[in-house]
Amino acid sequence: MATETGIKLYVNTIIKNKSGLIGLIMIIFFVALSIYAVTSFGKVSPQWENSVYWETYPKNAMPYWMSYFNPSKIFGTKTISTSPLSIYSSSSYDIYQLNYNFTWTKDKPPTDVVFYIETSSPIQAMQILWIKPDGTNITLSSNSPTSITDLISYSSSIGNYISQQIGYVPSSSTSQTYSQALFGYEGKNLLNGTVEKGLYKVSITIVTSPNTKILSNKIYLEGNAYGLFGTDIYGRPIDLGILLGFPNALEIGLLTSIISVIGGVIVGGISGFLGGKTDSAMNWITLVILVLPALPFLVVLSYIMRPNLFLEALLIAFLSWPFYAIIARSSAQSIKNETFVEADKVLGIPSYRIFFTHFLPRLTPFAIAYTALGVPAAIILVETLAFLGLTPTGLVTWGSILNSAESNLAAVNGWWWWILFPGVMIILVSIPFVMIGFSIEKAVFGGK
Amino acid sequence: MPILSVKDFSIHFYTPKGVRKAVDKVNLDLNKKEVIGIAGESGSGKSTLAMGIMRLITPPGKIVGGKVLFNNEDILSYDEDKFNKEIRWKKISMIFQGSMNGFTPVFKIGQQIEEVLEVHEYKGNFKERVNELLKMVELDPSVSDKYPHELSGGMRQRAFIAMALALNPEILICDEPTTALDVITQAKIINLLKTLKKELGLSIIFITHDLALLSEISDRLYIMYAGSIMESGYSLDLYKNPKHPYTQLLMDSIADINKDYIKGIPGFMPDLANLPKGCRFSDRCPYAMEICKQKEPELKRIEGDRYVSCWLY
Amino acid sequence: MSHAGYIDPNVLIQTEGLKVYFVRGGFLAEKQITKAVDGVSIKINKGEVMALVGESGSGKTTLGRAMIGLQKPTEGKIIYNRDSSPVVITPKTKIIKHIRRELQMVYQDPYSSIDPYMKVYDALSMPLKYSKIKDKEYINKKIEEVLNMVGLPLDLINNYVFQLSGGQRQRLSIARALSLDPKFLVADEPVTMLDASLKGEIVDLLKKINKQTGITILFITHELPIAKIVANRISVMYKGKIVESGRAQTVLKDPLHPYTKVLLEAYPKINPESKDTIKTINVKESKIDTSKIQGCPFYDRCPFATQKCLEKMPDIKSMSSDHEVACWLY
Repeated sequence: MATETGIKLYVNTIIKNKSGLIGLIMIIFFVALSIYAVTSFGKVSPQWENSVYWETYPKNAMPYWMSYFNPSKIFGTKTISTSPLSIYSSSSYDIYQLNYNFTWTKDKPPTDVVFYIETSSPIQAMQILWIKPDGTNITLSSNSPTSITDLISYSSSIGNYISQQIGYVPSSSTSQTYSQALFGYEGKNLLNGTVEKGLYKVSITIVTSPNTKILSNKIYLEGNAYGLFGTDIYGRPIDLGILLGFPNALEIGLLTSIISVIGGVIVGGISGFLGGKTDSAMNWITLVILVLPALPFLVVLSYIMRPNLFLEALLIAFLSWPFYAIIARSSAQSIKNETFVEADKVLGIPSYRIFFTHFLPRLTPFAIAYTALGVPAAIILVETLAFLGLTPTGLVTWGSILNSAESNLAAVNGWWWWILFPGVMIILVSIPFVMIGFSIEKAVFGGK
Repeated sequence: MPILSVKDFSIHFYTPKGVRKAVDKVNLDLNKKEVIGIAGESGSGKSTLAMGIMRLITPPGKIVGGKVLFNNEDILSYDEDKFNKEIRWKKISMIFQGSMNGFTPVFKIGQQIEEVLEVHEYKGNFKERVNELLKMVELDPSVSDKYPHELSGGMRQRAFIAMALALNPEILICDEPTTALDVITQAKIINLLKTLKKELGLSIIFITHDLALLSEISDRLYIMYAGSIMESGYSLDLYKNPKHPYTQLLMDSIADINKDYIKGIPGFMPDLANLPKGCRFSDRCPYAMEICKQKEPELKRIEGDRYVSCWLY
Repeated sequence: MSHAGYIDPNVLIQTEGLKVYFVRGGFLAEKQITKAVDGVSIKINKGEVMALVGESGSGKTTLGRAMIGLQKPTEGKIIYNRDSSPVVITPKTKIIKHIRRELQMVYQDPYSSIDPYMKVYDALSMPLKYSKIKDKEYINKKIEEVLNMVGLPLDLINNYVFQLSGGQRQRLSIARALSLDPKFLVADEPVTMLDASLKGEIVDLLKKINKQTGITILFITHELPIAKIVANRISVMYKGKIVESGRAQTVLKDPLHPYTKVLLEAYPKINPESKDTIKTINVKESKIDTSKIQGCPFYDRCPFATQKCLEKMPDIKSMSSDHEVACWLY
């Protein structure tokens, strides 16, 4: 039996135990990450589903650290900018020229090239002259110039160029194909994968309305590696997604666990304490809810209700409290058989007081241990729902990342980073709670 | 020469609160056909001592020193396998307070005794031996066909004694064998043990907190307190003329039908993890002197077979 | 609670034909009836200590619990001779709070009868707070008084119960019961769990309290020597029935019932001389099921049993001024 009471006891037991201490450190780290996510990236979160927001990011990039293994084929995005030259200015229009020089040394072309020119008023016309190291050149022009254009925007110009060189245009042309056209040797072998290395010159001419200023300009030579965990098909960085998923996972896990344990302990505790017919009735209800098939039930309810985070926590708690109620009931029944309960009744102490003095203090440590142990279960259930496409709207969760990986055939396409890292996180976030739960359980219920 | 001789035997428990010296350098001798009693209050280490002799100490407990000589051979140095094969149950066997509940409820008494015979490779007819054993403990042979729940507590305790005697042990350790039984059954079990001692030449170590009960069976007596022997000697002598202050107070605290009073011993037994510097009884002893608080007395022979661990002598 | 007939003013509490049966099974399983208390009529006088002696399973605890209304009787009644008007407890009675507090109990195991996580002060003040006493000063005074009475130091009140030793806990348990100024105290084997060195202290304490406050005590025990020391009168119980009762000295010196005789004979005494003489206890071990007995429950073990004993339970007969026995021998 423990000889201390209160919060001090729990903190002491957790710290004294090695696994408890590691668990506590991990949770503190997770909480810090969540706070960082909310404070630094709170504004990014609502943009997660907005694909335009992620346009300048490389698509399907693998983790950046992969480039250390094969730097000539795996590389990050290269950004270049220049100072614009005004070559003509009149009362009816302005013309600017932007000249970029860069050296390409990799064995593969960039996955895409994105031209980014931010101007104070809309661009009216735009033409790009792309000069390869051997002097051959392509002219890219777009009918509807915008501030951000990628290679797909110039598909007709590049398509023409390709058919001039090799006689036809491949049926499945992607940005990758167009990029190869810009970086390959002119001639029949334009698309065979060889890359012309050396100094490239890019000259962009834009026509704007008078008195327009160029605010910023960039060319993104998109790499095929990005960030700690890579990016998905829309260019969304997985590491950012995982970071944004942290606060949601912790919040819903804790909320669900607390609600279901408190509910379970109250129902089970009172049921066991009262006994008799009330107990039978309460126990019957508990068992009925316990045997409800949780996942199908949740899927249906979430589909109908499309709940927010709190409501979802309530829903899951509603289905998981009976588990705790059954345990609380049996321990309440064993406390009820203690002589001191009868002794207090003989001394004329009312039942409610007996409940608060003898039952609650004994149920509390149990409740705390199970709250900790219940968090991972709740997180996994929420992530499962999210994976099935039932995320509370506007939330980034690891399950929803997995869901989009699933629907975009990440596994088939070999984009392993899109599946592996969110999957591992769901497991990883469970570990400290289990460690702490067990260390409290050990202290409370004994054992070696 | 004693059949069993325990020398400087120590058993420590390694608990978070420190090392509890449950048995602290205990010496005792058991002669052939003799009943020795080990008396002490709860926490005195008497049961731990018995479990130690049977080598049934489990962690955090550990036998940390001493010798247990059986027929002059140190059985403490045997490895577990050899001890199990040659000593446990064959030479030394044991019954407990709760051993009447030690039968498996789903097998008949006879089957369970036969199993013991089988495990220890008894040579001879199992059925005959079971009947012989049951007769020995004054039970009807039909008991072998009964399930444990069909017998009363006293009968089950007898059946367990039969099982303990299955392989003709030379020593029987009885750890509070009658505490859970009513007085009439208790008296009958005591009588049975006396008969067995006579007829089988059994040597018995009888452990109890009940000094009155012990007086009816023991030839010699060891008084244990906080893990250590305080006094030992022949019962005849020791009951009449206790020397150690603890023994004196313990005798006064016996509830005996011929007495009109019982006295208590003020104070508490010391924490076994934190024993006082001097005599372990010093803080409760009415005769405590300066030296008692400074130095621990040794068990000294003061006359005949009487040993006392006290600075008064 | 109806008015009782004539009641001896010296009697505090008495039972009339009290039966407490426990029924097990009955729906699908075979119905099993345990007759824990089977037709007991005893009287306990004001201010005396009555020892109820019997082996485990004899029903003595059940009888004690029924007498203070903790166990519903199956048949018969308990009459509590309260100052103003006698209170009768029958199978239909629901016990009222104020009577509840006048009939108190001390339990066998001091380690389980008080919540170890409570503070001593709370353990003592809680019963007082709920007994309509709101005056904090009075409560503190009362706590001081009962702690003094049971010999516990006052500075213990801030300790947790788990910090107390077994003996201290039993004292605290007695103090709690006494704080409500009860008229009747059932002490259920209060020293059985305690070490020899502590038994004497608690027995002396109960005797002292009886003398000081005049509280009536039913002392339940299986230890005859303890009964002898503590009690004015002794009742011997066997398998749900009282077989003998009377003045403690008389019963122990001159027992009449064969069971009492055997019990006294079997009780261990200090006699290191009688090493080889084996006591002759000519009783068998009981095998019969109490629920099926018609006659005397000791029939199957009694060396003097006759056919009559098997057929009919003898009534309790008065043998001398204060000595009764239920046996066909007399």
